[in-house]
Amino acid sequence: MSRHTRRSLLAMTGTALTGTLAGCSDLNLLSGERNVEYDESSLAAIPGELPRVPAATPVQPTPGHVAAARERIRLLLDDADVSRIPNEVVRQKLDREREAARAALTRDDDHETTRVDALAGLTHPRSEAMFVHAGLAAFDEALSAGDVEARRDRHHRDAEAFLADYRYVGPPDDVVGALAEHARIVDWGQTGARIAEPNRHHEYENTVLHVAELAQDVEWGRAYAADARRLREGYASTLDDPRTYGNRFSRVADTLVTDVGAYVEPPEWEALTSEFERKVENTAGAELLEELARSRWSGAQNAVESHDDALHALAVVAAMRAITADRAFAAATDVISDGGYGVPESVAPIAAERTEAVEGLRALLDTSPAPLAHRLARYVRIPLRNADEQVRRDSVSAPGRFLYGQYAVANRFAAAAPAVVRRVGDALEA
Amino acid sequence: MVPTASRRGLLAGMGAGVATVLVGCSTSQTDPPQSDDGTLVTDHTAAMTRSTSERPPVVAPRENIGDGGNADETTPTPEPLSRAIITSDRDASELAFTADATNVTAVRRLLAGTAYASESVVGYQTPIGECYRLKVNYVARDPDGDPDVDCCWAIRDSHAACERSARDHVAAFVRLPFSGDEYDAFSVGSGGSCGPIPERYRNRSEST
Repeated sequence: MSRHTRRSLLAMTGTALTGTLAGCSDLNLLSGERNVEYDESSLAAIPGELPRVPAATPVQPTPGHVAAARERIRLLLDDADVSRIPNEVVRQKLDREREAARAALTRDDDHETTRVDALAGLTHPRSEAMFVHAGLAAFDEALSAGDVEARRDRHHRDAEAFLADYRYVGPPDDVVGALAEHARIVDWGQTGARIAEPNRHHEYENTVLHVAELAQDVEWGRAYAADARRLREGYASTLDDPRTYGNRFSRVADTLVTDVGAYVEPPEWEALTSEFERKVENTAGAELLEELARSRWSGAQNAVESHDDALHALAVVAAMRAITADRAFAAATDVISDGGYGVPESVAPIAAERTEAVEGLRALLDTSPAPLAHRLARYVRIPLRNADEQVRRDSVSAPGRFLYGQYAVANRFAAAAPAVVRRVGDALEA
Repeated sequence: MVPTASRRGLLAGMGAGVATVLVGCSTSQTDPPQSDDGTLVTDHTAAMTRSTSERPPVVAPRENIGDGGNADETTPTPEPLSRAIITSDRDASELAFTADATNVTAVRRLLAGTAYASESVVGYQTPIGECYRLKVNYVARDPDGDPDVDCCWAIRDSHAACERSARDHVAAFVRLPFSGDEYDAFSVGSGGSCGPIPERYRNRSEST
């Protein structure tokens, strides 16, 4: 597996809501956009402050938990002298992973970063550090592929057992918080089990690099599973009189998953824009519909798969995303039918869309129950943040299409979310 | 069936870039097989030789080897092989190796052990990164029966002292389980790192 592919996999399995980033790689595709010259100073003035999205989980990892993840990286990199590798290609590959892991240690998380996010951000760096550690051990003939396979088998068994024995317990007065907490824990646990599965494709034949990549995968999965286990222990320690919510989560999941079952197959991309009287290809509207359809599809897939695996809390939050995306899609379709989301003649509509999206995000953050609102709010904040960053980096190549489209995604999703939050909250409380 | 003279001419032209004209070899080292259809050949055998000097490890016979013995004896240094098809013991005997070529015994053993009535050998020589070795990624036959030998670069042992930017030369000899009479053209090349066998060949093997 190439490093690039590994990054892609990280995006897919890292559970970090990166689905909403899809389409960013298309930013240089200018074909089709009408030749509109936008005022650069007006464009540069669009980004602004964004509301902070609090953690959706009522109990976060402890500072000690995050510190332990950092310490794991330090320990694995301790005495990681790659200069003794004679083969420069091997040496450089180890060095590159070492530098990536070190960068995570020096990364300056801003004050808005929750401890859940900080810990998740240390998952792959731990695997990068293990790549170096295991590679050097293999070079010294102190570690073999067989050793790593045995380690993988053990971790995979443990990760599967963690999920098999899972019980949804929570406080008697906070079923919604319990759902949000368990959704995060099970998500990490499942990701850890999946990454530790055997027979994944590997890239290298070189013994050192092969052992390194095997060990990297094991560490990546182990980190997710271990974090899940420790977070559950931390959560359980806060419960005085725990209730079991498995049946309730299952019942809510049954209903919600039924609602999104129709979207489990990939969208027919061309059909998304072909039903309108006017041409909407290569407009912000097309970007908006594609992104919402992608979000709906991804949410529905996760919901159905999680439901099939009896991971009910995950099924509920995934279905919640799909339902929100579906409602946003319907609203966007109406706006586009009425002539909206074309290619604007000036920056003003783009800036206005962002303003509306930020207001929508604030309204969503004020919606109850908060854990569900916070969960969906991240799907609003991420496109907003990404769009702002593109403007700040001066890397927006098609403002009237991509930038406008991203702000529109945030705006439409934010507008649709509160009703879904209330509906799911009511169902959980019933 | 390809006349022997063509094979002879091919062998003679291996190093001078004329092999492409004679047999339709791939003109690009990265060209994939041209057809979506094809069959994977799994029972091939390969031997490699390598040189660390500026000279490639295999030096082909002079270009006039096939001209009935009227070769110009004053012709300077033999041309280096780039691509070749070896269909007889005589073809094999005309290959020459530089003094610093490694693993020559294995190559000669492979050539000597080939039953040319039912087998043939594809030769391929190329510069390669000092930190890499050449590997046969897969061998396939197109619907016309023409072989395609896909080589790739694999990272050498970690203890091999090497620099990323330095270049060696390597030659591969791949024995195919069918004679040279069974095909009119062939392609051989290397497209970079070793990857999975193309999907179109996965379930289509004539050798297994």
